[in-house]
Amino acid sequence: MSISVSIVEDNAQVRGSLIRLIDSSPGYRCVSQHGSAENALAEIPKVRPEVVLMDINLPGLNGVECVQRLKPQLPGAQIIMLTVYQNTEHIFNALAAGATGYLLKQTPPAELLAAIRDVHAGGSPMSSHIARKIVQSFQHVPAEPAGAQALSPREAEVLDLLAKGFLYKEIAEQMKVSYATVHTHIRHIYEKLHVRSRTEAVAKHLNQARSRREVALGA
Amino acid sequence: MNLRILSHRLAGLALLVGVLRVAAAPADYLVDGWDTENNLPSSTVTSIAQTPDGYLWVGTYNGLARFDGARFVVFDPANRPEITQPRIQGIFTDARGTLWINTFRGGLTSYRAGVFRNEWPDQPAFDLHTTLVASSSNSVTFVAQFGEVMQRDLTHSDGDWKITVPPPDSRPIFQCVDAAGRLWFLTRENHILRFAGSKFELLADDGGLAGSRIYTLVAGANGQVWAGAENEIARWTGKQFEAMTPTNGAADIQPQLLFPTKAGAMWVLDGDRLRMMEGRAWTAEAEPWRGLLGPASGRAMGAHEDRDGGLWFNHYGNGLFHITPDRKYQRLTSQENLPGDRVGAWFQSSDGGIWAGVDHGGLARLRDRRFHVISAGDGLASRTALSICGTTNGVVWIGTAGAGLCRWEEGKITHFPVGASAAANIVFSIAPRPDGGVWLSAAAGEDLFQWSDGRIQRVATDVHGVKCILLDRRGRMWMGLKAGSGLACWSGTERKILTVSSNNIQPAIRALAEAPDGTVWAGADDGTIFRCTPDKLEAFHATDALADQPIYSLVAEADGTLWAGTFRGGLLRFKDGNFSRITAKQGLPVDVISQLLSDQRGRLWLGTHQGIYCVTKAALNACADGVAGSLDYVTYGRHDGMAAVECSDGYQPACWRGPDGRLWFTTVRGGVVWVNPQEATVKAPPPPVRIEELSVDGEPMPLHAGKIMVPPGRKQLDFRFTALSFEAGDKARFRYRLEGFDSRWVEADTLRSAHYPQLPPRTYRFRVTACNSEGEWNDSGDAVEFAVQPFFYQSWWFKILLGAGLMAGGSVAVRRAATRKYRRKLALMEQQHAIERDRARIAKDIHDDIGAGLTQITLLTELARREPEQTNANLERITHSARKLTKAMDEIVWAVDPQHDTLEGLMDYVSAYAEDFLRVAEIRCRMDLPVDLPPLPIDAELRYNLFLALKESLNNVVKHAQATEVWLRLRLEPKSFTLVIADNGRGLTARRGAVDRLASGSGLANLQKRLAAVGGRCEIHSDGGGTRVELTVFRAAVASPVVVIGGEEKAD
Repeated sequence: MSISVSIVEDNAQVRGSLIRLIDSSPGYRCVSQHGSAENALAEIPKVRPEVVLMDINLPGLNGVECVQRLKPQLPGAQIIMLTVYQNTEHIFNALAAGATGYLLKQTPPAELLAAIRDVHAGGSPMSSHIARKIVQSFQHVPAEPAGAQALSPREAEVLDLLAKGFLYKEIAEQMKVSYATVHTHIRHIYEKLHVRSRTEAVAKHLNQARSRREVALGA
Repeated sequence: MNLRILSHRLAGLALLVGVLRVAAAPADYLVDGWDTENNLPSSTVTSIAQTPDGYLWVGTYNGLARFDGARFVVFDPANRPEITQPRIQGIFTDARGTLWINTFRGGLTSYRAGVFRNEWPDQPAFDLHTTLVASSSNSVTFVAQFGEVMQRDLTHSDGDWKITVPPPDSRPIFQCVDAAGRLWFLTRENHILRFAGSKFELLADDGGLAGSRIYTLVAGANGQVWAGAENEIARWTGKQFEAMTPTNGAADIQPQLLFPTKAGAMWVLDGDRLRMMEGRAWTAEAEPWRGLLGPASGRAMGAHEDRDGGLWFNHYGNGLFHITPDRKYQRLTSQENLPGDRVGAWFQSSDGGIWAGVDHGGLARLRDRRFHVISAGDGLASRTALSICGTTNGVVWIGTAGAGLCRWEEGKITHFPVGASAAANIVFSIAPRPDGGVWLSAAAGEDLFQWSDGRIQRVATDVHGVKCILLDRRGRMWMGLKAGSGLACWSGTERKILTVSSNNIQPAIRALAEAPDGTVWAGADDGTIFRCTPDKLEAFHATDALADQPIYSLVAEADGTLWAGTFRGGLLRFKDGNFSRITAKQGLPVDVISQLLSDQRGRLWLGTHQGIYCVTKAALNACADGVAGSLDYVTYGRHDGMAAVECSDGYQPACWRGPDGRLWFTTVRGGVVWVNPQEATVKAPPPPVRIEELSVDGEPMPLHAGKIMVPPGRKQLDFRFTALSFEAGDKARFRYRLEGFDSRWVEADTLRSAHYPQLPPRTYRFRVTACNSEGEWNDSGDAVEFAVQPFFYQSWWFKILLGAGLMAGGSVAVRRAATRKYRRKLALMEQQHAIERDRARIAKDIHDDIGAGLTQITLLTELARREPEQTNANLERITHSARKLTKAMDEIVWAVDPQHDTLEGLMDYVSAYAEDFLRVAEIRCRMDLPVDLPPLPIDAELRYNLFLALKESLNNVVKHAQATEVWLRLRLEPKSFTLVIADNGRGLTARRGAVDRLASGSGLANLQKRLAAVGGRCEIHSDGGGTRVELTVFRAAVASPVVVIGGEEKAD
């Protein structure tokens, strides 16, 4: 059974190359391709791929917004962000919106395929600079948004070690748990991050709606 | 022999004519005062001096202040440690123009060419007064409080002081320096001690002075020493004293103070008498002095002669005394607006101004009064004067509002009531008759009255509403009447009423004037001007928008020009049948001109609601003819002695030119003022101009230390300049021009600063000039030259490279990614110099990295095509190149994007980079970064340099350290932050190659240079267990300094 992959990328050449790479690799198949976030939002829920490769810089809705809307419809799909630039802020936003990992476009094909496989297998890649961002994010909202959960002490510990640059293996050793457990913790961290960002987004939306209403009433 | 004869003759003369009585006269000065409210550091002024550059220096109990007429700049131990104490006891200017400052506890500090130097330390135990007594081009001589003579050879800047101590117990008090340079002292035992060469010597037998007590020794104009002793005044002949005691007075005298004048006379303070002697005779006495201050008054007094030969005494307790060159005695105390009576210092500045330093009163300046007031204080029973006119024999008639008619003659005022009620005592218009009588319009009905022989009677009950009266040379009387009544003309017994308008509504006539050729002009409330003869009125009316504004005042010139002051219509010129109007557009300061006079020097004087203005007719004509666009004028008001500035309007004559040329104006609340136009406009040369300060990004640059180099990339240049005009004060006007930048002069008006944002690199010259009150500009002004230095990339060779780089940057691969963000960035940073740096850097990076990479790919592709057997290897290389290119682009884009201009943005990228980079090198990357970073803005340049420094450090680790682990840390300190890159490798000592690299300067030196360029520091520690690179950036360097425009001079 090969891994079904959808590709969202506005540059036709890059898109074509990615399709060729995936389709020519055994164990992977490209099930859909989309030149824009809007198209992806309309089509991908019908295709239900296992993995989505999503460009961050898209015309119109960008990749992060696309993830935000897509993820609730396809909770099972793993989304990997593709980016030319190492832009921590964007990457973090994408991860918070529901992506599971990210790849730089310069990544060699072998690594790209490996990443798709890892994510599909339940792996949760997290680099330390992203870990630091997540720590920040969990610390930053003083009042927990409704529905959002705080990190468990174990999760916090994992995150902290990650932010310090420790590898999953080292973290497992240090915490005397299995490698898989570390992955599980990280999955949970991601999920809480997603919930958190969603509830934040909802809260923000409500606030905006309220203030719009107030403005309308005031007028 | 001749001298003796002369003096005998003079004595005889004095005996014949007696002693001149120097009588009291009112001190007619205007006093300007400055105290702590005007930023004088203390209100106790001890001393005043002037340096050759024109600045006035003021010593106070709280520091030294430099004054330019408008602003005090304070120097004290806080900002000039060379001044050891804030309390200034005395300041002196020596022959070379160096300022010497004697501070509390005897310290001496010099000031020359902008530099203060401490010259003599404090003497902790004493409050030492040290006085400059002599100076030449190469030496100075001071005398300290206990008689020590301090001499200093100035030919060596670090020359030693030569101190000569007087004989023990002599406690000499310094008296004077004679023509030969000898210092004369009086000892505690009342003997004469002299200092010459380098030693003290007692004068044998006191030089033959007969008196048992010696009060004073002074040096006369030619350096001859005079002695004031008990019952004796004597002069030194070179061998002994020769008695010069006047013979025409009592023998019993106590001459405590002698004051020789430049003209050769001698003022003598004898007990409570102040007398002048010439030869051996008393020739004058200041009579009001007698008995005023008591016998010991001389103790607290200083005497000075001003440059006109006037004599001044400043008294610590009794104000200032002035005996004018024409022998009038004046006294100024707090009664006359002096800020206090304890006058400790007197000084005459180079412009002739008289200054006084007052204990607890600040600094005062005396100015000659230009406008002389006749008001309530002088016996005028009303502050409001409406009309004025005089006769040729010195009688001036004043019409008041409420106090009737008033006759002024030589300062004596007589009032003549018109009626019993207040309303009856309003006198609107006056016209003196040749027979000594006066016509006047008075009372509520503006009726016609006549004054003769002290009595006022109503005449001609048929005339009402008389607004103005004119008696012309032919003896005719003209009266401008209220609206509807026309113009009356009486000639002999013939009384005519001329109709001024065919219209039913006749306007009031408020102004009348007679030209030298006898033409009579009248001005009406509807703006019409009439040429009047008893038979005919010829009307002229302007046609512009302000043509209907009432005519309030008229001056008719010999050349046929008629000037008309209007109500809200400015000044109107009627010449050759044409009207021209001068208004605010041409710079006329007012549009209501209620009084108008022409002086004998080609100027018009305008009495207005805002004061009195003087402007040349040439300038007015130039404006009226459209030749010149703007007017220069002089404003007079309270500053010049007017009690109130608003001039009366609506009736004529409200102003008058006397036969002596004096101009008289009536005011609403300040009585009558008169001015002698000759005196009022004593022409001062345009003031000298000084550029005081050039600061770059808020940091003052030294102005006198060679050519000024402004480092590259500085943002703001501020100039501060001044005009050394004590007369004009802060009213001096300036214009400036930055040669190399401004194409024209910039009118700064009274603003004393100029500001320029970043200037492109080149040499500039900043010039300033100022003008005097008559609009005459200082030709030379002041200038300062400076060069803005270029960045390396602003040099020509870099510009060529830049061009090449930008062309390479035009390639397709780059465009899409870079141009958009780059443009946005450009727009964001418009007007900022930083953009140039960034642009250059980006261009360079694009050129070096992308350009080279793309070239290589092109070549490799070509090779792949040509060498089919090598295709795979070549493709591998192409992939590698392309990947490297992407990475390079990534860095460039990050560096350019302003959204990363924060510490957070920097750390995000740096940590991601380190993680990736070290992962590939299979080195663990550990991080210890604070979760929360302060919201510190970090500009692109700093960010990029830090990133490159990190990159270089990591490269070193990978290449040389053989480390397995690298720690990336960020330390936040209050004023700095430090990025630490620590490895667990071999350390520097073991890494021979690395040591060499670092030591040779390309490694460490590179890092250090990079950090220094952004105001940081780089340190490398290696203690066996690896290497630690610390990159420190100070926060001050992070944010650009804030430049406060118009702020006070920095104290430190």
